[in-house]
Amino acid sequence: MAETVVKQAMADLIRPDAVDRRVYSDPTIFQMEMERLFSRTWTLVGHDSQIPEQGDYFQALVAQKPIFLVRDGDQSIKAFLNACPHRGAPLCNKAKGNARRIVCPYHNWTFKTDGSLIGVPLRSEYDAGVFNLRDHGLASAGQVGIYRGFIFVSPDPATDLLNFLGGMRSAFDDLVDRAPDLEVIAQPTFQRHRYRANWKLIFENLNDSLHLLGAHASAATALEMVKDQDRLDPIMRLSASAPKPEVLQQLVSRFYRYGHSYSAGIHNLGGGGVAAGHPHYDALAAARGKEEADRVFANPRHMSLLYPSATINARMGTVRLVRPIAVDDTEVIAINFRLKGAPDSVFQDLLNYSVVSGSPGSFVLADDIEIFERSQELYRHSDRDWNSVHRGTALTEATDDDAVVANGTSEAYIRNQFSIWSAFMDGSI
Amino acid sequence: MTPNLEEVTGFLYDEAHMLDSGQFKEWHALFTDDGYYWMPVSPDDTDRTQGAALYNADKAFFEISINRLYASTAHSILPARRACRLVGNIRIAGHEDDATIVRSKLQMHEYRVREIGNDDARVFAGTMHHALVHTTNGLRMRWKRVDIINSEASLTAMPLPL
Repeated sequence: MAETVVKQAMADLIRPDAVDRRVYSDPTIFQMEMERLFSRTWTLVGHDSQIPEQGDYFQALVAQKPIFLVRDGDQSIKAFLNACPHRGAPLCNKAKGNARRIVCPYHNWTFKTDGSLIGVPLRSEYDAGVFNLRDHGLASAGQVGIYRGFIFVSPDPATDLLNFLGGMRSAFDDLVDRAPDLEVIAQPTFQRHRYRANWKLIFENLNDSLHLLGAHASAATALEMVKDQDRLDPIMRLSASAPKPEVLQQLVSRFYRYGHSYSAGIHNLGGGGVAAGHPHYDALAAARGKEEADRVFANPRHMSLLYPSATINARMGTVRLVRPIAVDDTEVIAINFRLKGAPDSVFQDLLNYSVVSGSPGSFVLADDIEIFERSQELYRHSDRDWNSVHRGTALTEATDDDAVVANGTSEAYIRNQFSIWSAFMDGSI
Repeated sequence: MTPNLEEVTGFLYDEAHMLDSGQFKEWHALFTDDGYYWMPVSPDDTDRTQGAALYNADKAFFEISINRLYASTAHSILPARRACRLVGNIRIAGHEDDATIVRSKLQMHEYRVREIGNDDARVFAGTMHHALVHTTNGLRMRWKRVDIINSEASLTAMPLPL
């Protein structure tokens, strides 16, 4: 497609305050997203602590391509396509493991963890003048970037990782800073779920404070019906509560150039209330001083969105990877972290919260998924129908360093997502 | 007094029928006060405080999930999901304090009609463990653990307990 045609086609899909529903349902647009957006942004794939030893690997998906990350002998982390250069058989078949040498299960081509091919069976049958092992190493999956231990991959980055993250670096700082020993450890079992709808819907949902009133009305009702309220754990209670609209209007949302955003403002909504006397505060103060503990726990931030690949809930020690599988199929993988130096009760809180907010059995998630899937069914049949993202345009926005600050009930962060989406999709980035 | 195979089999059949017919509050009442319901992600987990789970709720917190199944705004069960549970291979697997541990297999078919799009039908299969104790009200569950064979998969919403 000629680039001018693409530019016009993209411009026709996105208005300042409305979005053509085909962006959620058209398989061609989805393929373009893989090539133009996901191949050029940085995808969060995991954490350093998942592969501490040489040869440790785990599989990931970047722009729909199966890849694996492996710890090389020089301690660096390499990313390769999970396909043998020989006949394309997958090299890693387990989600994670350890292999000092990577041996293809099909014909035993053997690679080092730096990707170089060191052996093929029946070497004498290869024409040494034509076939050089050096030319047949593993195909790189792109650049690997690491920030505070979190691993990112970009096949063809539009910009470097630090610039891409911008002010959203603070989400990772916040998570790691909450560990008294400044180290977090990814837990081996992930909290997964899936919804049969477009990947963008979760990014439009998780900073949408107003949806608590509609989508999650049943959770709030169910919470009120509980007879013995005193027996409910406060962190768990948080997962079901739905604040009033006027409370939500006190929230602020901040968003950044590459589509990232977070909402913040009311401490209790984010599960705040960690102060002197709380075992987490005390452990952090003992390790790094009271001043640092005050700074860390004063952060009233809720959910952070790292567009277009992940969400971060630092207070609950959880990072979710959002994997587009198809235009109408999305997988979400939550990785829970142990905060080194924090008491076990802190891990209990975040694990419990993760189960009630990120599991298929969650009474919160179930209703989000239901609304995503019902909407997708309609989008599939849409032709020139528009989603409104107008809410909040009557309010003023301010800038603060590299962020724009808007009211926490505004849909400004969605407009911001589509502004960078358009720039990637029409080729202007 | 420990229950025999016939008694625990009757309990499991009644429990399955209760769930199939939507008597969730009555089912919730079958847990002892300190009871819990657990569906771990990893079949290897032995400690419910250490890993991810599909469900992991003590009786008090579980009440929110149960109450929600009666709410008129619970979108994920509107229209209602119908289920048909088949329980078999029942064995008394051991004892834990005064509880009898019962191991069984579960197959659950779930169906819901949708006005728009395709109807939803799916099957769950797995192993159940019930820790049953005798009380003055009859047999009660101190805990129930369900390990479905695809617990580690990325599953879509499961608002009905198994």
